[in-house]
Amino acid sequence: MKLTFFLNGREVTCDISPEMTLLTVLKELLHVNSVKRACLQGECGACTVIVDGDAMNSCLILAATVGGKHVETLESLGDSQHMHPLQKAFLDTGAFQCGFCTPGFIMSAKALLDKNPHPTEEEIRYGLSGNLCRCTGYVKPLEAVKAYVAAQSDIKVNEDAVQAVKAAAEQMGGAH
Amino acid sequence: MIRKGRGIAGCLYSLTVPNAPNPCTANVLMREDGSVNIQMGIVDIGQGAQTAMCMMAAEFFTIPVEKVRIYTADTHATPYDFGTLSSRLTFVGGRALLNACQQVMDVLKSAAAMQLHTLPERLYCEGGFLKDKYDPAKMLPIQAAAAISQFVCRKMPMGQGEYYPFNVPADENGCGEPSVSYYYHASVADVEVDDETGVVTVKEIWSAVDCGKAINPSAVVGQCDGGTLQGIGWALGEDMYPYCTHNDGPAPEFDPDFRPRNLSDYPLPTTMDAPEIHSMFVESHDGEGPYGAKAAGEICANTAAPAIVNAIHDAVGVWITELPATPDKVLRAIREKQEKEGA
Amino acid sequence: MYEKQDYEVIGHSRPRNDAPGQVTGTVQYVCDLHLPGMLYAKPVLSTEHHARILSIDASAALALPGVHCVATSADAPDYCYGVTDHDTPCLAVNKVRYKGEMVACVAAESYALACKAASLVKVEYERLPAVFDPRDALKPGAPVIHDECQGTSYEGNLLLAGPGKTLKLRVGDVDKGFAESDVILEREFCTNPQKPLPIEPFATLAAPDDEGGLTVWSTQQCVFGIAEHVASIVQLPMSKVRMVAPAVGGGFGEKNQVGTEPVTALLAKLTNRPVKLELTTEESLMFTGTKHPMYFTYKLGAKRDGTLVALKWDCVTGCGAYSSVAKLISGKVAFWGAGPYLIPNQWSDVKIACTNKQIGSAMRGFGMGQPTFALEVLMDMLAEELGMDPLELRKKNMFRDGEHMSTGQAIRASGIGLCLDKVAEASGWGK
Repeated sequence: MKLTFFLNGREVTCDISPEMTLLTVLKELLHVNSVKRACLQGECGACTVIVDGDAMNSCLILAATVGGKHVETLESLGDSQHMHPLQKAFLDTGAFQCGFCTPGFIMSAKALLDKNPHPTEEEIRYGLSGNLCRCTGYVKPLEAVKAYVAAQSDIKVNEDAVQAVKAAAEQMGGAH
Repeated sequence: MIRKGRGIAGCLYSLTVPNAPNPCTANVLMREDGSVNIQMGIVDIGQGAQTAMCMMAAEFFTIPVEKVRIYTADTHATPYDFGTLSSRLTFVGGRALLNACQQVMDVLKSAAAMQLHTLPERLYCEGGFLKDKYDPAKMLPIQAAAAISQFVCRKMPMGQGEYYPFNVPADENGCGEPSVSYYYHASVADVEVDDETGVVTVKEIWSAVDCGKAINPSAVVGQCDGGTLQGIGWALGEDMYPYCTHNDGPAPEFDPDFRPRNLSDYPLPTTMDAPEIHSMFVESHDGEGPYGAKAAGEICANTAAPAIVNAIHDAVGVWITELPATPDKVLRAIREKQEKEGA
Repeated sequence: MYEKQDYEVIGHSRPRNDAPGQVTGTVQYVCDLHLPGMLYAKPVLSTEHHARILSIDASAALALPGVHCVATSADAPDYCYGVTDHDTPCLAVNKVRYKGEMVACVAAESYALACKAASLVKVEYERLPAVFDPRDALKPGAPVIHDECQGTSYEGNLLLAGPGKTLKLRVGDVDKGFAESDVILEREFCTNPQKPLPIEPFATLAAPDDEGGLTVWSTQQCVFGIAEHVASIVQLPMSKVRMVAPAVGGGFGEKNQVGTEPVTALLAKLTNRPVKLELTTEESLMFTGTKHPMYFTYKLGAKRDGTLVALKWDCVTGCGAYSSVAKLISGKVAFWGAGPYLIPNQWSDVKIACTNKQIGSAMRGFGMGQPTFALEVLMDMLAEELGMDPLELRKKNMFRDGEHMSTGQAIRASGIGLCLDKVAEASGWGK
């Protein structure tokens, strides 16, 4: 059967059989590099992708169910020349060792942050609890997400300050 | 009731493979632009050995790390290495690498000496330049020396370094010098034990490794973080042949088919389980390792378990002598103690 | 070597050199490698702990269109690999020795097809009595697991190690030491088989080249060592077997011994096609190795003031179904079971027993985690007995430079005091 969906914003069509999982389509048919194959049971999170805004284990989704939907993989965030700030945060904190779980971690974090830009420590831990890592003890991946959130908040604060100054200036202008 | 406890433990580890030859060879080449290519048979499995090698070569040639590339783990294209095991890569690989770098430096100095009309032995390397010890006016960028060597002398600045870690295999009484060097680790664990359920929670853990000179401190801390969580997993539940236990039922029984088949059965710690891990390192001075480095990989998994078990004793006064310290085991020990005290 | 006071690069943290590729997903692991015409492999694992293989019927699997090969031991040469003892076949020969051992392996056009074919391979077993506790395995009358290597590698289920069949350490006079001790503690300890469990399961891609050789990409910690075994299995000179490790998704010891390489190489040779075998985590849990379970009796003698006088430890290491690195691990237990402490009289005896559990492999901490657990808990027991602070007891007996450790080697650059002080200070020990 034919399957058409959007992979990282681009429409793709492929010939699938009904029992194929999204992971099989992404790895065996489309050769998407960042998605990792490991447990095939939805337990390790290495194959996490974002489907219409939700982080999902691609090994558990039947490919046929993503027809017309938007599937995002790590490739959608940015390449080494144009990194997404979240990728930069993982890089700067050294939030990985072997790196096998990293794409899944970043995608889970992205889905979490898209919905909740200012998560608490507990919310970050919960949001990443479906991604297993054996190298880092989770210390630095959690640090990376927290650093990203803090940096975004700083920007937000700065924007707020700019807005406040502008508003004040306008008011003063109005008073004249 | 939740009871708090604290425990400590220490450990040593023989770095390099004891009692066995485990050499490493490195090829190093400086290109005409001063960039460096390293070929080694080592495998980086995440610990950061490639980065450490690049950093050591950059330090040696006083060039930016970005100018060093490394090619690894190919039996047809890279020289021999014994393997990624026994905390040996930074130490053994680093020594081989620096031996190769020294040979490259000798070639560069010959080329530079010719250009500067001086003697190679008067030259030293600093800030990306080869400089004359006795004549400050005579200096040459290291990449110029590489280019002169390649294009004028027609000699590629290449070197092949070997390192064969010294050991005297132990005799039948265990006497010898099985390992060239040793490194150390210690942990302090703070736990909470629920004396009604037997559940042990590690709240905080401090973990310090004696890595010699830390080549890449963030990688050393990373090793310590990960090793510590593996140690916690080992202490509290990870078991491929767990005993079947029953709440308030008969004694635990062994069933070889009661084996974890997937990660839901196997209690690999997740972000929800990981405590606050405080990883640190100390730098003893060994004199053997490259730039004084020892190791950081293997040992970090070893002291968490005894520190946790000692902390459990501190909290509830029972000794867990069979790992893992699962809730049923801890609870049974607490009840036995209570019965004894009651009787 | 080359030590100095100030470094430009050394000692300054930096990200891994592959960091940009890691965070953008361009780094390639075995699961990311694809070759034209590549077949997918799926293993058939033993469902029995200890059993004779009566027959393997692959006809239904081979009848499926797109299934190229079902390899069994009949397709492999008579070669066993191993680290110290060559006792491990590429695919089970005549009998299986643990549940999860590889019995056959299918190569097919797609992974789904390979899975279907593998489920159709019928293996008929005759169940044999099995033994799981290494202490039971050494008792008379225990079922013998390795019939072939008796006298050379095994005596019954005892893996022969060291000149006296066990691994030993003898320092000073341990009996005299106990006689001089004020306090003697004797306790039993045992440790569990943890799984190294890197998130990337074992995976290998093998492809025939144009010159009759093979290139093998594998998630392996020791490419050179494993290439020797692969060459023997495919009966090629080592010069014709190229082993490459692409990015490796963690190892922790599980991947420094033979895993999926020989069987994948064999399938590539039999089909003359590139073949990729990627285990699932479930298969990895069943098939690859665990940390060695160990059973200790530790006896520690000390003076009232906390000075350690004598230490005696007996250990039985459970190596699982095959020898793998058991001797190397157990050697460490025998030599350094006294940890970073100065004890004038030491005595150890370490036996290795084969069982029907899965293979004991290297795991991070290699042979030091188990005795460290036993000894460090015993140290706290002693501290309690003496009414001493556990940290003080350790510092009183810890390695000092210039003294000698158990093997007679001079101690230099002992960092144990630095480590203990560091964690004690950071945690506010005693406050």
